[in-house]
This record gives sequence, C-alpha cells and structure tokens, in this order.
Amino acid sequence: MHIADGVLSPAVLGTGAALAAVGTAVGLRRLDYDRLMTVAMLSAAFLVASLVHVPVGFSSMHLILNGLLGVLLGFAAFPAILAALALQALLFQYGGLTILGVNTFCMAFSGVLAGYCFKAVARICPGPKGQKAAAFCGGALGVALAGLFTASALAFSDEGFITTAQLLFLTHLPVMLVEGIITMFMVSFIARVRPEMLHWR
Amino acid sequence: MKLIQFCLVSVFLAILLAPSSAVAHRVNIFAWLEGDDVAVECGFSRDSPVRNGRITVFDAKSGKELLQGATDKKGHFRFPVPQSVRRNAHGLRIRVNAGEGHQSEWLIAADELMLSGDVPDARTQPSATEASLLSTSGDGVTQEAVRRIVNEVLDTKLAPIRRDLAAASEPGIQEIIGCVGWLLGLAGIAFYFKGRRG
Repeated sequence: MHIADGVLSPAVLGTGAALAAVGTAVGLRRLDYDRLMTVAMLSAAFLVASLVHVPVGFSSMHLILNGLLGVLLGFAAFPAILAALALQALLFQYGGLTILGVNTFCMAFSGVLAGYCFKAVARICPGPKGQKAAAFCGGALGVALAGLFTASALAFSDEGFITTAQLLFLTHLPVMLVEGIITMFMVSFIARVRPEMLHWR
Repeated sequence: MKLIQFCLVSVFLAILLAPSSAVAHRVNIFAWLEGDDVAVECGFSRDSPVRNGRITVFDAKSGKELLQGATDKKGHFRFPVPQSVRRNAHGLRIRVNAGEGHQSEWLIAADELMLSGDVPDARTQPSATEASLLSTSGDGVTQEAVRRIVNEVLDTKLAPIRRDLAAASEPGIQEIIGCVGWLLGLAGIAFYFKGRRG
C-alpha cells in the first residue's frame, strides 16, 4: 500500500506531510525514555514485515503490522513508522520522499485508531478473553483503515475512490485475518511478560 | 529484556523463514530496445507480472506525451520508437501505473536510441575506414545491414544482463538486516539526547 512518487497532487502531498508532522510531534512528546527501545524494535518489525512478501495463491502479500504498532505504542507509532518508511524510501526507492508524509499518515494514523479501538474493546470486555478479542480487532482494523486512508488519498488522483477502496479491501482480507491473529498472540504474550507495556498514553 | 529477546528472535526468524525469492512490493519497470521497437516489461516481482498496467510514454526532454498503452497478461508492452524522438535526439521516459498508487518509470537515454535501428543522420555515412572494410568484403553486404544485425544481436544478448541490473535494485536480505541496524542506531541517538536532557 505504498503510494509511489508522482501519483498525487501537491495539495494532497502537503496535507499528508502536515498531518504526519503533527502526528509525529504528538508521538515524540508522549514517548518516554523507557519505551524508546520498544519503539525501535517495532519500527524494525514494521520495516521487515513490509519488505518480505509471501506468495499466497496467485499473487503475493506482505504483512503491514501497523495495527500491532498502534496497539502497543499508541501515538508513538507515528515516529516508528516514519523512520521505517523514510529508510525504505532512501535506501530502496520504495514509495518516495515527497510522498513520505501521506504514506506515514495512512499507515500510522490507522494504527493509532486501531490502538484506541483495542483499548475501548478491552475496557468493555475485561479479562484475558476480552483482551484477545480486542487485540484481534485492533490488528485487523489497522489494515482495513490503512486501505481506507490510502484509497482516500488516491481519490483525488485519477483513480476513483470506491473502486480503489473495494480492491484494497478485498485483496487485504487475508492480511487482515493474519494480522489480527499475530496481534492477538503478541498482546497475550506481552500481557504475561510485561503487562505495563500495554498502558500507553 | 525477555520482550527484546523475543522481538529479535522473531525478526530474524521472519528473515530466515522467508522464501529466498522474497522481494519488495514495488512495481518494477524495465525497457530495452529490440531493433526499431521498444520492449517494456513490468512486474511486482519476477513471478507476478503487472496485468493491464497503464503505460504512458513521454519525450524525456520536452515532457510531451507520445503514446499510451496497456501491458498484456505477461506484463509486456511493445511499441515502435517514435520518429520525432529519434529525429530530435531526445530520450524516452516510460511510465507504468499499476493502480493502487503503484507507479514507476524507466528512462531510455537519447544516445541509446541513436545506436539502434534506422538512424537517419550523418552516422549512416560510412567513415573512411569503414568504407575500405566494406569494399574488401565485396559480396554485396551493405554497411547498414551489418550495423542492424550487430545491433539486434547485441540487444538480445544484453537484455538479460540489463534485466538482472534492474532486478538488483530490489532489496535483498543483507539490505534488510542493514535497515534494522539503522533503526537501532537511530534509537541509540535518541537515547543519547534523552539521556543528556536528564
């Protein structure tokens, strides 16, 4: 779901960059010393996940893990995803530098929303089972919202919003399922070994 | 610390377990000359071609749009070199749009175009040495014919090498691990500044 350079208009690029800057500023402000290494680790996981793709049926897919980052980091997902996408753009010409803001916002804000969804569901259904269900929702929602935001960004280019959104949603259904399961296992693991990690601001 | 160990192990497991053909989800475009035609190949990786990708060809110097087309089932597209480009000694910029924001470009430089196919300029006039060489062959083979044959053979022989060069720009496992190192380094810098502030 990386949008390439030269597809979008300057207005969309500027809006995306501004939103990403705000998100990153909020994320850095809320990020404290103890969580720095976690952010770096998850940033690395995000980077590796989107570079390695696995053949599924006729096409291939790669994990995005933005929901997992949002669930574990909250707004600190913004600097983590920005760093990973900037490295991908600089070293692999993947996406691009002018589009970096839009891509960061699409991936990170969807993750942040998934993180708040995780918190809300976990509060409504307390207990380990509720937490697992909440983590699954968070992981799957991150991918779905990322597709939605990407389609909205592309709606202002010559591709239609509805068709792009439908296409992204359908092709990413298996990814949503897999990411939901991965997030569920990660969260239940962390809840056992370091439960305080799940309480971000 | 258990968590960090877990993350490290899972990252490396993901790298190791990944199929060796693992490549990035980026649209790749590759174009080469075959005689008077330009052949274009587009794919997300070598195994998954871009079907029905929108191709647009521009004049590299003036930026004027020359022609449009779509790739076939194998991700191929072929078009004759526009005469205007060759006459003005401009290059070609070929863009593929595979939808969902996937777009990529490939540049064919002007001198590459001039070296192949019909070149309606002074170069077709044989130089003194070429003329003497041709006169010694003496069996009716024109210099132009020889030039065309050599160019065609070179194009087909060089195509796989160029394709490998294009494929080499995709990130391999070394680069991916290097990127993880970059991120840890960034975290180290952040530690330094946060630590100094107290």
